Amino acid sequence: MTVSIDPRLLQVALSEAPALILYLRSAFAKAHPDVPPPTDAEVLAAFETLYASSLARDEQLLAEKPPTEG
Amino acid sequence: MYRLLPKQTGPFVLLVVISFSFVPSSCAKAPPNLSPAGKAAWTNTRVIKILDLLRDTAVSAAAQNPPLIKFADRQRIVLWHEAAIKTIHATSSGWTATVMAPLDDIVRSLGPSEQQLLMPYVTLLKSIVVEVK
Repeated sequence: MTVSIDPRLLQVALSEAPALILYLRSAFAKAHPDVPPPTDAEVLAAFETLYASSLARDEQLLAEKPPTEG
Repeated sequence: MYRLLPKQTGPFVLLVVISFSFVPSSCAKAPPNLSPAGKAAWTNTRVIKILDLLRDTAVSAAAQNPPLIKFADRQRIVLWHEAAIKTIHATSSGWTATVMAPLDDIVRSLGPSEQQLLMPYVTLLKSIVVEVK
């Protein structure tokens, strides 16, 4: 017996990948001080990228019309 | 659609995927080497991810047949989301009341089933906001 996995769940997991990478780098850096933790520039760039993509998605959604009946 | 797993393990695997998606972004402390601006960006990145999830849940619910949430309510949530991320981007800190009060108003105005649908994401968002305060 099998079950279907909604691709949107995979998409959510993928969308978390940058935060996951930053987190793993940070955690790894504690155990291995020679690996530098994420810098201000990297964190700020990740924030700006996320903000821009999220805002673009909002504008796309707000431009959509309600579905017509029937 | 991907048919990969036995039916019994499906829900468990989905729970694990979702849990691992959130643990790093919702529980990770900002690295100590970051400046105050970097720490704010770190936290605000986590917040926007949860706001996105809340918005995308409303969008997906409105796309169901029959819809689980009205299109007008979906648009209210998207509009709130847009204002919220603009506020967070512009102010970096001190945005909690400005962002959360309108969300509470929207949730209160929804029906019980819609509230139940969105409440896990609202709760998750509030738990992060407590950290930010």
